[in-house]
Amino acid sequence: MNNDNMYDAFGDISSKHIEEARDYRPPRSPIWVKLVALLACVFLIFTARFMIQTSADIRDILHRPKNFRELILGGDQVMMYAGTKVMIDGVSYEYCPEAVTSAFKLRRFVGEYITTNEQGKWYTIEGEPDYRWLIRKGKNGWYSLWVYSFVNQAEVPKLPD
Amino acid sequence: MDDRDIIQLFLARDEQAIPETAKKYGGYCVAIAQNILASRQDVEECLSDAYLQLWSSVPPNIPDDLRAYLGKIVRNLAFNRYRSNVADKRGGGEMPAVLDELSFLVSGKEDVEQAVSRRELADAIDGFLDTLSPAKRAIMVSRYWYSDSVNDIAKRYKMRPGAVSMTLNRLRRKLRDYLTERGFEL
Repeated sequence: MNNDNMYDAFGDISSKHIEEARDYRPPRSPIWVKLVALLACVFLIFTARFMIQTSADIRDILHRPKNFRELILGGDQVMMYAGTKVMIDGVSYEYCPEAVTSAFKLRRFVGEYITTNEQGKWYTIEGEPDYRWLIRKGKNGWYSLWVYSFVNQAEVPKLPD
Repeated sequence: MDDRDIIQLFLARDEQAIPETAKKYGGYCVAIAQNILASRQDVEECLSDAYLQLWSSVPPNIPDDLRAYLGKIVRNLAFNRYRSNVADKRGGGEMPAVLDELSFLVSGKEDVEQAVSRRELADAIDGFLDTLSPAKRAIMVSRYWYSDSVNDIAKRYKMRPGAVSMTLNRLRRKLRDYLTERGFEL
C-alpha cells in the first residue's frame, strides 16, 4: 500500500467526522479560570501599591521631631520609621507601624468609639492606661497612628489646637 | 436555501440546483480543492466537474448531508487531478506534505495493496477516529481529509503550529498501531 491509497481511504471516512471537523470549536476557558486570573491581577495591583507606599514611607523620613508641638503639628514632614521611639520632655513617642486607609479600619487598633470627627483627641484602650493614641490624617488621606507611652506617669501633654 | 430545498431542485432536475449549491457551498469546495491543487484554473475546473458529478449522482443518490457529500466529490476529483499533475510534474498545494506524512503509515509495497480494500480501511479509520477526543479528531480530519495546512489548523483551533504538528505525529503513530493490531498489512 502506498500513501495515495491511504489518502483515498481517508476520503471514505464517515460524513459525521467530516462535518464535525468543520463545526468543532475549541471550548472556551471556564469562567472561574478568568475570574481567578482577574482576582490575582487585582491582588497584585493592591500589593504593589501597598509596597510602593510602604517603601515611600521609609524613604521619605524627613526628620525626627524636636518637641511635642513639632511632633503634633509637623504634619507629613515629621515621620519616623515604624516602631522607632523618640523621647521628648520625658515622654516616649512611638510611631505605630500601621497606616490605614479609612476611619473604619482604625477600629481594629483603637476601639469601636473612633470616628473621623474625633481626630485631634487622645484615646486610650481598655486595659492599657499608660498609653495614649493619636490619630493623624496625612495628605494622602491615609490615617496614621501614634502611640504615646508616658514614662513615670509624666503629664499628658495638651494637644495643640 | 435549505439543503433539503436544494436536493429537491436536483430531484426535480431543475438547473437552478447548481447555482444554489455553488452559492451555499462554493467557498467550502474551493477551500478543499485549493489545499490539493495549486493552480487556480485547476481549482475552477475541478469545481465545475464536481457540480456536474453532483448533478449526475443526485438522483439516484439522495445525500443525508449535502455538504459532506459534495466535499467528498470535490476531494476525489481534486486528488485525481493532483495525481495526473504529479505525473506531468505539476503538483502543488499542501498535498506533498500531507502525502509525505501518510507514507509513515504504509510500507509502500505494491504486493500488499490488493489485500486491503479501501472500504475496510476507511471503516477502520472511522473506528480509530471514534476513539479520539473531538479536538484530536478534528485535527486529524482537517489534515488528512481537508488537507489543511498546519498553520490553518492551528489558527482554527487556537493552537500553536508546533503543538498541531506534535499532535499529528502522535496520532499517526497511534493510527498505525491501531491498524496493525487489527490485522491490516499496510
